[in-house]
Amino acid sequence: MMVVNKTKVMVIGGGTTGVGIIRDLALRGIDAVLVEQQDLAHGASFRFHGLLHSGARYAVNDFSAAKECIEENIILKKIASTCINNSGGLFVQHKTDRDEYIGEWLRGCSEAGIEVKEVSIQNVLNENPAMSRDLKRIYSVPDGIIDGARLVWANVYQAMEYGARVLTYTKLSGIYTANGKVTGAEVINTLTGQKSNWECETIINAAGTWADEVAKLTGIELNVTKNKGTLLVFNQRLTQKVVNRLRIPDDGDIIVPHHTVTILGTTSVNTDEPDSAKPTSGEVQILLDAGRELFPEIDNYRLLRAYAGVRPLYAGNGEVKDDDGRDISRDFRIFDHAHNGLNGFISLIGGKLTTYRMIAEKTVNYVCKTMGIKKKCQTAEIPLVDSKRLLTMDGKVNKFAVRYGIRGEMIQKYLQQNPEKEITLCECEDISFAEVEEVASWKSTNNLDDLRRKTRIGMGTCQGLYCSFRSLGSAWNAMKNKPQHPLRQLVCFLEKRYKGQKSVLWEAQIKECELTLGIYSTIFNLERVEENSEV
Amino acid sequence: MKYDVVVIGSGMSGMIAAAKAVSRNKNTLIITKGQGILPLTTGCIDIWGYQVNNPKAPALNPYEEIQRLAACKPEHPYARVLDVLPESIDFLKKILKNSGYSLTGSIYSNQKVLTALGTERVTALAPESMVVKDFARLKRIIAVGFNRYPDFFPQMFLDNLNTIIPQAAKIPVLIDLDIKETVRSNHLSLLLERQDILAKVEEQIRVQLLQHGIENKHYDDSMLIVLPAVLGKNPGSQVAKRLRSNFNTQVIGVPGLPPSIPGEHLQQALMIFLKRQGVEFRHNSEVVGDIRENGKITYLSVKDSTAIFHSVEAGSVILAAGSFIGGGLTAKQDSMLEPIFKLPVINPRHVGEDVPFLSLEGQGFLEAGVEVDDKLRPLKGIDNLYAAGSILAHGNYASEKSGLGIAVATGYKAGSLA
Repeated sequence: MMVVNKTKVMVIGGGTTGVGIIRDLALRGIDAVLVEQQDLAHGASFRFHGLLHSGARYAVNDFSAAKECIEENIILKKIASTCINNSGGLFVQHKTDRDEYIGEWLRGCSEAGIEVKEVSIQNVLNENPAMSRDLKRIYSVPDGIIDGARLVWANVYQAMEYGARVLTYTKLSGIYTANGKVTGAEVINTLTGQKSNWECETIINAAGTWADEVAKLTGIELNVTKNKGTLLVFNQRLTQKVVNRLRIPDDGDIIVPHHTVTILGTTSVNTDEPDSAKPTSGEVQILLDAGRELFPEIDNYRLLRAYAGVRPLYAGNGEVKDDDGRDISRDFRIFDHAHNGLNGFISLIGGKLTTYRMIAEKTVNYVCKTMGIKKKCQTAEIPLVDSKRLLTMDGKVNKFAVRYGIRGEMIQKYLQQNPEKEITLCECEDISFAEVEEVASWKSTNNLDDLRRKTRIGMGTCQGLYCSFRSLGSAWNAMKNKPQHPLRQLVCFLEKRYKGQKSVLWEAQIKECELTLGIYSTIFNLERVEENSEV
Repeated sequence: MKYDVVVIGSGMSGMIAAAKAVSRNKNTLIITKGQGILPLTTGCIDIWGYQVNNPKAPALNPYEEIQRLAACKPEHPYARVLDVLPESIDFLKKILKNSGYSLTGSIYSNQKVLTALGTERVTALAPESMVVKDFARLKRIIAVGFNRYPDFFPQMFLDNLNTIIPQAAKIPVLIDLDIKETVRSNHLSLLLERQDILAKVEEQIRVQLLQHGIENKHYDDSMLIVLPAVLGKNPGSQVAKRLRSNFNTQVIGVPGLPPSIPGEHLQQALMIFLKRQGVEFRHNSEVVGDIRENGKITYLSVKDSTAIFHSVEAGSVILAAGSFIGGGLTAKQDSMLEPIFKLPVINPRHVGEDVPFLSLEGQGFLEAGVEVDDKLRPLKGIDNLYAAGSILAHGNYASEKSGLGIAVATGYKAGSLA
């Protein structure tokens, strides 16, 4: 007989929205489980530009979004400081951008409460010499840089500490109902194929781009507009602050220095195939053309890869205006499917990463009301990593707490026991053997690609050339006991790293790609391993 | 000063071309921008790895497979050099032996060698320090890693070996040389030349094996001791031999992540030979243009590392500048170029096509390059210009396991004709 597990609330989807909700539930002391079909943050939560909005981008077109953004921006800088680089941002007016927009924009920012200051062009150019000389005005705003994967895991680690359960590689396969009410769910482990049953009172569908598929399990039609955004990654920091174009939001307006690289985005086009969304060469051109106006030498920088994320947008009453999703508000909507005759089933559509905490708060407030629970939200007050764990004895910020949230202390402990593991494994992103070996041993790390999202191996200039072999080798005893054969993990990892390089395979990057091929095909003969041993 | 032959590039094809040209008493110059690609290679000479008609099965006789290939793919670089193929390989072996780097094997058979990942690869010629006698007779395999050395992992190597050499017992050993920083391959290769360090390594291996119940009496030819390929600082190094005779077992070094010490040895061995023969080198120099008269190159314009331009008079020119890594080819967003002579570059397969990164078919962009006639002269090119090595179109060294074989044969032929 199948084991039946019990919980009160089941959350579907391990992106920022879902993890925000599970954290909120956990901090209120409500028993909950989160179910994610792949790894956490495999979707739009990690496939975006990494910008923590100040709201200034929405000051003209979407005032309420602007207001929400700045409120959340201030809260997140306080509670999620480990995931945020408080770099500040710039809005720059190129000589071709209309002057009339600026007055409107300044008014919007001021009304929303976004602090805007005009800054000297010369000072900005001194600090960012790669920027164009064709700029008319520059304003500073409180934008920041946020690491989506880090944010997701920090939420989850804390939620788990407060008693929440989180199941990755677990797909919702059925929803049980009785008398027009949700009673439970069947889930399936996508790695082992094992099924299990859960009893629960409420299911929150926060599956983002996949929310319509989840709703369909109950026969309910949900209208999610899937909007693909393509982004480019350069191998160095082109600026120190976030740079936005001061004009009506358009393609290629946002430039974010993220860790050791720079991300340029985005485009916006609706898609029917969220699982196979990939950048086109046309989109790469559009982004380069836009980027060139602010960074004239952009073609001479090394382009590492292009990738696409799919935004789940709320499509109003089922009507999409045109193919460009940017006109649709990115605001989120809560759908209580009681209106469809099913109690205890809630779907969310839309939302932005910057406002993920607020979305979670509103959702859980609503759910508590329907369930008759009276507990206050605490997510804006309790930080993801408390200062005791964040600071070392001598008051410095602990690097591992920044990278791994409350689990940073596990890395610290591993390093104390194995001091020789301090040496660097990944030179691009400065990641040690200790980090890789400890994180690989965690149950939630199922393969090299999961390890990448947690540690950033493979994200830098070499795109996995050294670190994939080294990670697999150093964490071998952990990796060989994961569900996927370790050499298969290596092949998949290299394949995914290659996928992003495919549409930018020129200049330095074709050399890097040839070198990687030279090592894994010519030296290690890895393509034959797969053929010969049914890995 | 006038040179009879000017070679552009110091990878395998360039150096073999220069060696052949100088053996014909040609006054020869190599102009080289970087260090050449040999330090990235395994130090083995791959000629042809798998069967033309069944790419899953290893090629038993590379030479026969290449003849088959030439019949069905006449545009392949090997099809242009069938006439010199065996003699070019003999020529290479002779040169290398002369500099202390001896290769075992021949063009008429392939052998299996192991990699640092614990996978096997097929190659025609391998340095003695990589050759294992008879996989089937091995009873014990000892993999030796080094503390703080980031590029060899004994347990991964041994576990992956289970599919290749299942019968042998497998024991990982970790050596601690008491170094408090990251140990790199180059550093390790120098350290192992020291008698005291080598003795320490031997001692630690013996002690750890004893803990597994392996005593001196068990040390024989059925035992294989595997280290990363860091065995010595130069092509004639005796480290592997010393370990073999001290242990009385088989000892190999397995190639892995770059820099590859055997690859460096291979390069040094060729350099030593060329310098001894009087070939001149211009390092850190780039050919940026040329002057032609009556369809022939007469002068090359060369930019040195201090950005000073020199004029070099050339009787004939061999273009051996490599593929993308070497800089012989460059890719732009919508085109591929040969930057020195602006020769047409053809790309027989589409860039970025939907082929898995690692596949039997191989990545298409490796097949891009310059097309040549039977005398290795670029089509619609220049009378006294020859091209050799991975700049040539239609070969796919990664999937074919043919890289240095093509380089040797085409370099040799270019050096014979130039």
